[in-house]
Amino acid sequence: MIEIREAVKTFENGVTALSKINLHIEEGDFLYMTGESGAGKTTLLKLIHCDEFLTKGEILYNGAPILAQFPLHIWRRKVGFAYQDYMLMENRTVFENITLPIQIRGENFSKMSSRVKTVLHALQLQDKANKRVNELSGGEKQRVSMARALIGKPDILLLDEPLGNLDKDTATIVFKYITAMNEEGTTIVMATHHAVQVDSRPLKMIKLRHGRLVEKEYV
Amino acid sequence: MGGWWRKNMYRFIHILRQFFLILKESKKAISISIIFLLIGLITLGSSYIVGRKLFRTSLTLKDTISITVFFKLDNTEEETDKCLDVIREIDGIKKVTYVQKEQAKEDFERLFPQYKDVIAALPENPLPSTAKVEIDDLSMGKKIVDIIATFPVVDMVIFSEDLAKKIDKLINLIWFLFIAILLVVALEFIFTVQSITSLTIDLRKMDIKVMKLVGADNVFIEIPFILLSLFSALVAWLISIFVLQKINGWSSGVVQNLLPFSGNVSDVNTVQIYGVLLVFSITMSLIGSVISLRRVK
Repeated sequence: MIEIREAVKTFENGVTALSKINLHIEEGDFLYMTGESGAGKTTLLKLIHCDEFLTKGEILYNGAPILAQFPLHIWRRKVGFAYQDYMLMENRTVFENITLPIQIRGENFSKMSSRVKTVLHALQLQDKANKRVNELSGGEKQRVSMARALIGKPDILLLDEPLGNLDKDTATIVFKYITAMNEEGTTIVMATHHAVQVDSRPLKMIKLRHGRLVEKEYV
Repeated sequence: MGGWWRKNMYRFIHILRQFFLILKESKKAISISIIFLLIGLITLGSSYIVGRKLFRTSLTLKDTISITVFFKLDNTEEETDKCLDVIREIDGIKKVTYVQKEQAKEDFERLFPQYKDVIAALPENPLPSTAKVEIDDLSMGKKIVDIIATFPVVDMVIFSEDLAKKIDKLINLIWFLFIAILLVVALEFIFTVQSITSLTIDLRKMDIKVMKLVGADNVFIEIPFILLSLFSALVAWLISIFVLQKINGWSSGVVQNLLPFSGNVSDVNTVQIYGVLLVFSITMSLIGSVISLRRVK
């Protein structure tokens, strides 16, 4: 499904975030990406989402470069991304943020209302729907970011430290929901440095260190 | 096909939703833009109304300007008729109306009844026969007067050249002022819409970035801002109608004062003016918002 070949990413300031990464992600995979802060996990997710672009190498989707197949906005509709720094519309309500992908796709609100309710409930945000994002805690914002990524049932789900700010109980509930989505066929790439979470469902795991792929473990 | 329409309809509803959200969040900026656009529309509309009235009244006044030819008292009818035929043949002559001596006397007595006895006491009619010569183009007046004055049967030729020139100047001034105001208001309109749209875009830079990350295309991002500028222009236009309606009634007096002896000041077609102003508002606000939308790309 997604093939990353000899991927190199060097930023304008000369810092190399990724060096010669080779990776294959199959349809329906649940790929854990571990590594310390600054290892290049977020950069790799952003490269897949086309928020950043490679300095060298290529990323293929079903055998061809992504932007040769889709316009950027269409690709981003196929790929849900829960950002570590949330990337939310701070002055808008939780409902407005979560339903943004639905609005962008031009889908009917009433048809989607049950899905909105399910996602809000699954991520324990049902009583926060009408709150402005700037009134929420870090953990709540993280869940809103995740809910927005999940709502459109994307083909690929990119999760950047999705459980980092959550308490254990909430993290378990959220993780269960993500796992269920994966079981329904969604390909998931999750960046995390929580070894405990990884241990709980070790399907495919890679480890990055200083921008290099140091471990690959496919179970 | 039905699905495509439905999808686009929902998409449009969501775009409208974004427009209302931005409108709600930018009330102050929009109110300021409406005030500026309103000032522009009132300036343009009122100058058009007053200008149009002045223009039409000037034209009416200009129509009354003609050349008056006084024939010599001792001319025979034949000589005068022959001269009239020659005058009619001159290039640029619209109409020649001959007034016989007797008719001139009757007209004089009707206009000045207090001198009726004086006229009656005279041994013969002292008034000459005259011809009122209307011309196509007032600028040709002096040339035509010079030609007519050379005819031996003509005693005197009067042409109010100064008045014609003044009216010509006034008409030119009205056009110049109107075009100048139109340009200034067009620039003010574009500048206001462009500034306010840029400001609202800048305030939403982060939101726009988020929308792009979630997969929004340019249409979804840009249309609400275009609708916002159209909304401002439309509200300003609606308010301007009420103000211009008042100005229309009040301007006739102003024109009457500017052009005394002009008779009735004709009314202007306000519906036409409001229509033109609406098209102007929409066009200028579209230009202004499209310029500022370059920031989104």
